Amino acid sequence: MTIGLNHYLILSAFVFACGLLTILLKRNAIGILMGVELVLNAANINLVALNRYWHGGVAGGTGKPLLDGQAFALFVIVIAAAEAAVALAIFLNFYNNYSSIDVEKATKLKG
Amino acid sequence: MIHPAAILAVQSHVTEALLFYLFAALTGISALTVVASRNIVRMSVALLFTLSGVTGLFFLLQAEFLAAVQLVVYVGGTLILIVFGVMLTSKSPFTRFEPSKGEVAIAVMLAAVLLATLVLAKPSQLASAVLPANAAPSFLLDSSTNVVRYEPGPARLTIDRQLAPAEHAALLERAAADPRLAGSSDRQTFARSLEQLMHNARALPARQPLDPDAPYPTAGLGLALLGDYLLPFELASVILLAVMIGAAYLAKARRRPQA
Repeated sequence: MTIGLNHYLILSAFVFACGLLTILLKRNAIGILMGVELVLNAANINLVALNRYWHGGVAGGTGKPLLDGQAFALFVIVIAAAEAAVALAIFLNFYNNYSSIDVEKATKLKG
Repeated sequence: MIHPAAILAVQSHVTEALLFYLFAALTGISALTVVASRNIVRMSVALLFTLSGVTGLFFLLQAEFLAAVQLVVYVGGTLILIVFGVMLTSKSPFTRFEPSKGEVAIAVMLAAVLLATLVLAKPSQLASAVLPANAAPSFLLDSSTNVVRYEPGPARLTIDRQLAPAEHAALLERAAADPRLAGSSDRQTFARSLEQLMHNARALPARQPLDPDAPYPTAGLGLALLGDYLLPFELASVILLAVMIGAAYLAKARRRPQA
């Protein structure tokens, strides 16, 4: 009944697989962006769970908390917000030029 | 008579498990909805529930500050941005783009293989060794941390982290003092199983898990951001500035070319 690290790792793997499927299956550019957000969240679950269970709480003897995983997760959230802002600006431009948000229409650079 | 503190500990374990399964179900089901739904508006609502579920998981993992950040920045910021994108780019919110059958098959296969690999590759958290039959379990059990677990039946000792050298020495000392391990051969067998246990535990975490009663170290996170992580912290602020300028420039309203 006790919840351990493996519970979180399996849930994170499932969310990661869902995110990958979303990226592969959606043709709506914003849908693909949502898939990327799912993948980043899966990574964040892993980082925080490993910080809690594996990395341990307190560095040997010093009493100083070890929060490397949480600090990394914080940076992931910041980068995800930045990435979403730029991606949406690009999608708006794309929509203005092609009148569609379907990524299959972006074939101008195709050889 | 069971000690009241023990009952409380069991109750908190059960509560934690129930909350974990609640939030895990919320996260998993809504993540699946993001994949399965063909409607972009429904997808964004499902994403809202996924992100909220992850917030709950962060609370369970004693990362309260991170949970608050997830709620404010992710749910309140990024998701709203995505919803704005949905509104600005769809002529009708019910526009659909269908992937072909072959694409679906390949993608599902890829995701299933990846999921199976990740689930099977999860690290084992326990190491165990067989003890001599007459090794007394009572002195092995450290009930305060519950790190060393003795299982009745086949005499098997299980631990979920590496033993510090001092703990190893203490166990050997107690074995030497225990009258039940009378013969020197018994003691040698016990020492050998303990060596085996230490060997098996090489890949396990070396530190103790977080003390659930310890105060939450938010201050530690702040100190880490302005100490060890000062450079990434400043770089993040530069990135955010660049992104703000770049996004404002890219999204500048332009007249659509007459196609």
